[in-house]
Amino acid sequence: MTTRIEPKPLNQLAPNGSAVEHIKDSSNYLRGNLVEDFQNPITASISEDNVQLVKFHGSYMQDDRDVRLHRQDKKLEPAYSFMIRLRVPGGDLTAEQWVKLDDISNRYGNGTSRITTRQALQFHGIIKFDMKATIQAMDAALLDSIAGCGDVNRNVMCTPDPTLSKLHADVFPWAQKISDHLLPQSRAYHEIWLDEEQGKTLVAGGETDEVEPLYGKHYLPRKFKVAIAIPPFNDMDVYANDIGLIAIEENGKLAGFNVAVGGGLGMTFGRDDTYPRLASTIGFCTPEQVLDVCFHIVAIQRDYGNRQDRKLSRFKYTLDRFGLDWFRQELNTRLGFELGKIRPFEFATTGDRFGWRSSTDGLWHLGLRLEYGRVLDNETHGLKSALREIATQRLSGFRMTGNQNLILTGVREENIEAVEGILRAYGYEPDASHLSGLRRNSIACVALNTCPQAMAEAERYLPDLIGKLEVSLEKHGLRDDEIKIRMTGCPNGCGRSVLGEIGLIGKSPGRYNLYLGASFNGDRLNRLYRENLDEAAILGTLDELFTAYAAQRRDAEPFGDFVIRKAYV
Amino acid sequence: MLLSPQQFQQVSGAVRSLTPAQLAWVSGYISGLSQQFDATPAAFPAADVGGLKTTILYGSQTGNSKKVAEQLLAHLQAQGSVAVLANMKDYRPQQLKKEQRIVAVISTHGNGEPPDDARAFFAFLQSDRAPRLEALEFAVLALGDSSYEEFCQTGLALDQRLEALGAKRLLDRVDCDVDFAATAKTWQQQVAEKTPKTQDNGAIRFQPSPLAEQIASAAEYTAARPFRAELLNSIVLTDTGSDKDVLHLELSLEGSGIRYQPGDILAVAFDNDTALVDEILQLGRLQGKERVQVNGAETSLYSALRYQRELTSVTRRQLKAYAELIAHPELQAAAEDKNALRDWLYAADWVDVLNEFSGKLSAQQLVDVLRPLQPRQYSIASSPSAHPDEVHLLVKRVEYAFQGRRHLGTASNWLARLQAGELASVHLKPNPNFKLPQDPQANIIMIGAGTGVAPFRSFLFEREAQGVQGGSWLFFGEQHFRTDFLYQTEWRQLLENGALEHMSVAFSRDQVEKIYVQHRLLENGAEVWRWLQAGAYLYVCGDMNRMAQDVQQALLTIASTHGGKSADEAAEWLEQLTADRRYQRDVY
Ligand code: SRM
Ligand SMILES: Cc1cc2nc3c(=O)[nH]c(=O)nc-3n(C[C@H](O)[C@H](O)[C@H](O)COP(=O)(O)OP(=O)(O)OC[C@H]3O[C@@H](n4cnc5c(N)ncnc54)[C@H](O)[C@@H]3O)c2cc1C
Ligand SMILES: Cc1cc2nc3c(=O)[nH]c(=O)nc-3n(C[C@H](O)[C@H](O)[C@H](O)COP(=O)(O)O)c2cc1C
Ligand code: SF4
Repeated sequence: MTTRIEPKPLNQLAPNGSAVEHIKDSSNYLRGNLVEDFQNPITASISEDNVQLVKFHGSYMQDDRDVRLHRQDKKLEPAYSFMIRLRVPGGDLTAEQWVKLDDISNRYGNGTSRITTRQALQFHGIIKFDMKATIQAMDAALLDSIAGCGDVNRNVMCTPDPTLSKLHADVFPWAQKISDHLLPQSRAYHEIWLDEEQGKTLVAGGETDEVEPLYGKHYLPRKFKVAIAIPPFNDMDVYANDIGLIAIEENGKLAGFNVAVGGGLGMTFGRDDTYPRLASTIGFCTPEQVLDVCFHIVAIQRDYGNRQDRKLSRFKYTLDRFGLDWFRQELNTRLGFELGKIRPFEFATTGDRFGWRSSTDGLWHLGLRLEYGRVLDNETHGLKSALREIATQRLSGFRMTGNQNLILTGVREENIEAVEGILRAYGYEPDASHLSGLRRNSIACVALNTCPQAMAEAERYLPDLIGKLEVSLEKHGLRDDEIKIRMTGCPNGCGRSVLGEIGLIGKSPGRYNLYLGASFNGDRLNRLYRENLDEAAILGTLDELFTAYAAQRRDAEPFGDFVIRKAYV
Repeated sequence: MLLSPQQFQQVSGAVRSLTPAQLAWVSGYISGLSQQFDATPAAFPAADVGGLKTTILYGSQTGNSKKVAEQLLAHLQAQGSVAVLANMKDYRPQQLKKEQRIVAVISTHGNGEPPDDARAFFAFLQSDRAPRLEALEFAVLALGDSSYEEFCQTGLALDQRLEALGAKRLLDRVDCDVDFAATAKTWQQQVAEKTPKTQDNGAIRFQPSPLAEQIASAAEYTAARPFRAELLNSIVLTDTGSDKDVLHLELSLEGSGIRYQPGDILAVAFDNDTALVDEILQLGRLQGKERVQVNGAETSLYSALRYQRELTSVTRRQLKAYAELIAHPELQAAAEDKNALRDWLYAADWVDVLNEFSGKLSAQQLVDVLRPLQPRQYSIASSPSAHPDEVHLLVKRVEYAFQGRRHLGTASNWLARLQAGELASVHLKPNPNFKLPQDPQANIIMIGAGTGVAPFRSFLFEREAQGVQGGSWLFFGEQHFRTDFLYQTEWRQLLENGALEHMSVAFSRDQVEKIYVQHRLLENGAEVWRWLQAGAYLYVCGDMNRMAQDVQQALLTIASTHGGKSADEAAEWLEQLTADRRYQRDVY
């Protein structure tokens, strides 16, 4: 680079900083006037500034978009409520915690919980006036939502299936350690929601460096994500992350991690300077080095990331602006050592496995397929009640997957029947083998009615759409083939739609762009095939493609590879 | 005649060239002016001619008694009698000693209480300080509503007290029910007959001229001659999940000439539900085509039940009369007891009566036992400045289960069914006792639960439109924040632009313990007291039976807690606030 861009000094407001930079700057480490605002009885909303701040506390203000216009006619403000996203590194919850969280969703939420694509749990529909009680109830379950959202490191993911690899037991704790290491230190959350005394950990004079040694008062330019994958499983979509760590096994032990940087999937329609990008693998580090490596990568993004235009402030753009060479050098300098050479590994799939499997310790684990992470009781099943019952009886642990599914972990052999019995009693099939391959490999983001960004349905619509696609799959003998379909209500890509062999991204109500050709193992993005399709057009287009695939594919050629070979995209 | 010859010429000259619509406007304007004068004693000169002077005293909350009193004055003056008119509010009761003849028109409010304006007068009269009145002659016309247990209680109390003080009854007291017009007219004639006429004193006599008639008709839409207002818009404000339907209705006043002020009331006429009429006919084993007499005119029973008789309310007196007609001694005994059937009567309609105590009435007997169908009153929720040519109402649709049947409030359901483009018969009821302060700087505290918040929407939009400076504080109560926050976005807008300074809300059912407006008042007691000490005006609107009383109690508590007043002092303070028109209520 010829013109060297100066790093932003810690705690100094970025020149021409975006509105959010100013909000952070004057927030007194994420406090703002949240306390007063959450008490204002006239509205269930909070101010725009506080909406930004409360994200750092793990919560988004939303409104029920289904009733927005109808309430406007009634001279009522939108049906505001809050979504709270718990931080659950690696997605691991105990049965005790599950029961308490279930209580919260019933008492304060909309009666459902939602497992996310990053192994976290969300509550929707928390009313402003219940926020404090909700967070206190979470605290009683030894859980928090600090950094669930906001310009900080988010929930750290890790391949969850204990049976996937002998390595798992070595690797899994690193999710928690990295999460702790990158956690914001401000006590704002404890003071505001948990009634901790003010300034408890503030050093006299409020030395700002000491409040947030990593983040400083302006935190990161944008959200930041870390995930750990254990090959051959890429069920975390490790390349979608700002930092992807790929666990490397040598001699039956964890040797360390390949380090990939600069992944991110979001883009904005109409802005060609935004794009999804998969992380680039730049080297290897040992387990002892990994905390430092993560810390300094975050710090580089903190100092060099774009703070003027939030559309361009993710780490991936910082990397592309400065170049990978510059970055490696900067990182090595900060680390005081060089990253090692990339170690060989191979990814096979991004999917989850369903059904019972045992681990070497003799315990059993049930991979349970959930419809897009939504834990609820409905007309056809009582999944939520069943899980509660299993948790109440302490029959298993609960581990959430990055594909919005759930693993009931650590079941003793003699309890297998009990677990199955409960699920069946509530009308829920423990096994997913009756589902089509397409359905088993599908993800949909939340979208309507809570997501403010949604342009079209996703979670509420994909089940129906797949039902219609199954007719065509059946016809072509493809019912059991593993084809990965992902739908998001907008191009932010929360359901990682740009990594679907079939990706559907909402453009407007009932209309989607169709993307094709991502790899089955998650190392290749898809490409735009058709724009603005309505349902009939989606069904027609895919039926044609399925026809061709059934007739012309090679052996076990995945659908994503087929469409590339045949140059559909 | 009230005007001098010159004045009459001036007025009639000024209005001669006007179109009916313009006339209507002028009359509204003048009626508005007359209400502004209301605060000062009636400025009608007592003619200084010999003979007996009659003082017409009225105590009125919603203007009915005032109107009757004014008609009487006009009548007496027209026949050349000497008469003056005074509002009890402005009348010093000590003066009674000097009077020769008092003719009083007085209504009953609350649960058998005097109108706000007459409270001080009554308090004095009932006290030991009241003078002996041996020289006085008196007559009382009591206005009331027989659906209340304490029917015409104030008139009765006045009548008895004057007698007890030694005054002589000129006429027996007459009690008027809601359809008071005819009874009042007869009474006015009786009073006029008993009042000596003096020589023509030079004032112009009332000569009914076509012009005057036009003025009168344009100005005065009445129950008998309502304005047909088009429904422009109807919105259920409460959201799915609410226990109730509260409607916001927008009616057009275009072309009516109706000019209202914030705080005024709109009366709405309606018909009974056909299903209810059919059920009553069936239970009464009647056809509907029977001919009956109603108000001296003949009509079919069906039409009488549909358009002229109340079917959803039952009073104890009615039940007594009914028991006599069907010769039902137990029912008669129960109906003699003020309390025995109180709750039953509150909820029951005539289907319940006929179901429970069946007996055969003739068509005419049925019509006679039923009360006349009365227009319902609704506090106007719009501001004449902010919503020109429109009037908005906030109506709670009454629906409840009783005796295993769904009961629907007649008027509110009629209104709820009304479609945009359809017409409703309305007339204005000025509400002089519920008015914004004249002083634009004055602070106002408004307390309204449920539909009681309606006039405050009118107040605040009016003050916003007028750019009024004074501070304002709204206390609002309902059941649920999410579904029942009536006009929420408008309050937020008014708060944002400063037209509303503070808002305190109480949602009774959003938490385990019930929280109501009075609790919010008490919580803010110190600040409320400061506002009141600094001259703030206090307005209360909505439910009379609970809310208004609890609020009143809260105010007394605040006066003791924050004003250091004893119970008696606090009560006195509130009386004074009422007398100063700084504590105004519109409760129902
Ligand atoms: C719940 C979840 C989707 C799900 O169906 O499970 C989700 C839901 C939302 N995401 Fe996401 N994102 C979720 C994973 C993702 C992922 C996938 C991943 O991380 O593996 C991505 C793509 C990867 C990436 O970060 O690039 C993702 C990229 C976004 C973006 C685009 C960011 C960008 O760089 O452009 C936004 C919008 C933004 O940040 O401005 C966003 C914003 C949102 C918000 C908060 C909408 C908003 O801005 O107000 C959504 C809340 C919807 C709701 O009602 O719950 N979400 N979001 C996932 C929660 C993960 C977690 O537990 O932390
Ligand atoms: C000055 C004034 C202002 C008013 N302003 C408004 C206003 O702004 N908005 C408004 O909505 N109303 C207002 N009202 C009340 C309104 O006039 C009507 O009384 C109301 O709409 C009910 O009329 P209705 O014909 O629908 O019911 P009706 O057919 O008259 O039936 C009502 C009767 O049903 C009984 N009843 C009602 N609820 C129950 C129950 N839960 N259980 C048992 N019995 C019950 C009671 O006896 C009640 O009197 C006001 C009244 C007055 C006097
Ligand atoms: C809130 C309210 C309470 C009333 N309470 C009584 C009552 O207890 N007894 C009664 O006879 N009439 C009662 N009435 C009926 C009035 O006295 C009647 O409407 C009268 O015509 C009003 O006259 P005014 O306009 O001069 O005040 C009440 C009316 C209202 C609006
Ligand atoms: S992809 Fe878009 S619509 Fe779906 S949850 Fe994310 S932001 Fe919302």
